[in-house]
Amino acid sequence: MATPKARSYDFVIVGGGAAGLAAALYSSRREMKTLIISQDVGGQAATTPDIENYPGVEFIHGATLMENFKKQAEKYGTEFVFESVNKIERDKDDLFTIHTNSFSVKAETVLLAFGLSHRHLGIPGEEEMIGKGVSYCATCDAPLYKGKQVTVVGGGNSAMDAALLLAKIAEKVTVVNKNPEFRGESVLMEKMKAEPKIVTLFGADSKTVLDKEGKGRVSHLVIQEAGAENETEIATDGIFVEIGFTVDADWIVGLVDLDERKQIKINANCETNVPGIFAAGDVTTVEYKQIVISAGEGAKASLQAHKYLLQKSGKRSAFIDWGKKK
Amino acid sequence: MLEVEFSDANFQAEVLEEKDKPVLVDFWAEWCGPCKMQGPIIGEVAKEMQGKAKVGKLEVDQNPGIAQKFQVMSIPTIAIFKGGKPVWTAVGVQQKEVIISELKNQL
Repeated sequence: MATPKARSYDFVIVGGGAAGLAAALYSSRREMKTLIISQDVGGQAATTPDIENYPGVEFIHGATLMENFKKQAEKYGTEFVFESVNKIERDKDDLFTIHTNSFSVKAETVLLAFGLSHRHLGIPGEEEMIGKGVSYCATCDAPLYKGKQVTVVGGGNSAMDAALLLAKIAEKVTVVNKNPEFRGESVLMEKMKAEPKIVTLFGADSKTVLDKEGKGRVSHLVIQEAGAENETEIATDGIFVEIGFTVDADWIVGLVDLDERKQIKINANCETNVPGIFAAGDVTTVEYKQIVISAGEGAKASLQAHKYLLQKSGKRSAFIDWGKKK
Repeated sequence: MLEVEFSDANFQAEVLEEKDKPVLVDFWAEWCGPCKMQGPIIGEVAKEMQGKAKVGKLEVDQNPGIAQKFQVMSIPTIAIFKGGKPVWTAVGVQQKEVIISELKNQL
């Protein structure tokens, strides 16, 4: 079983994306015994092909940048375990117990940094066909559709990114956009118009994913076009769902305060309403979802957790970041 | 490196005609972020299952034939072959324990 080396930690981080990894770097450097529990390394950033807006780094692949984040945290002693957390309990002794499918650990402080998850369409056939033609990661799977017919569902930047990437590889790209127009960067919209392989159906609602030939893979997407009387079947080898992200926070309802979009409510110092539980990155109410922001928020949460631990143990905050210490 | 490099050219001999041991194939590609997370895990599986199972990787960009034949439509995809047939397939990053337990089921 994937089990951590110790039974208790100073700081347990749930999530291994930019926020979690940056937090781990800061906590490990302050000699907090740190464990990251995550289903993956790098989260969303790791699936971003080209990153050109991380300050100090002109160009890097997302997976490489996140691998660097991880190595740097591990260098200072962070432990990383692949698992998914399914429950966090607050104990009487002011400690937390973090439960996964295969182990439980105790923590003095917890950081929730598990980011956002891909939004699913929620239509019949979709879940059954994941990995069999339904994909939520165009950068991962696009090259498997060389010379094929593909469909992209969505109307924002990520849908346009996916369509433009697929147009380089597939034979034909049909974009099914619920709205009457694209919403996103004008640069991308211009590129979409200029690409002959892309056909966009505006005002079209996705209804069903079909495996008509019974071969265990996607054959059609059924759509309802605006004003049309009947549904239409589009023959397709792959369906790339790019309709944004959602917070997968059902498992922490009742643990910390969430907003109406289920984002974790935090104050300016990444504290939740529960002392000892911190949150950072895309999963929080912080408006902008960017790698550099998540990294900064993670660092901030880590410093705040450190301060909390010192105060809990009766010491005064041993460090200050600016000004003169009295 | 303990992992075998599978390809369109050697797949028949190395995987489909392997009589004794189960064969684990990690379908991956350079441009796939999650595949880079899977890679080191496969390395550990190879070490732990040395002598008991054949563990290897197939790069789908250079070897589209096999990927198509076995309907690999998302990567990483991990498949276990026994007696020339796929007996277990999983899509997305898989933990070491899961892979090893599936391999042990096939011993």
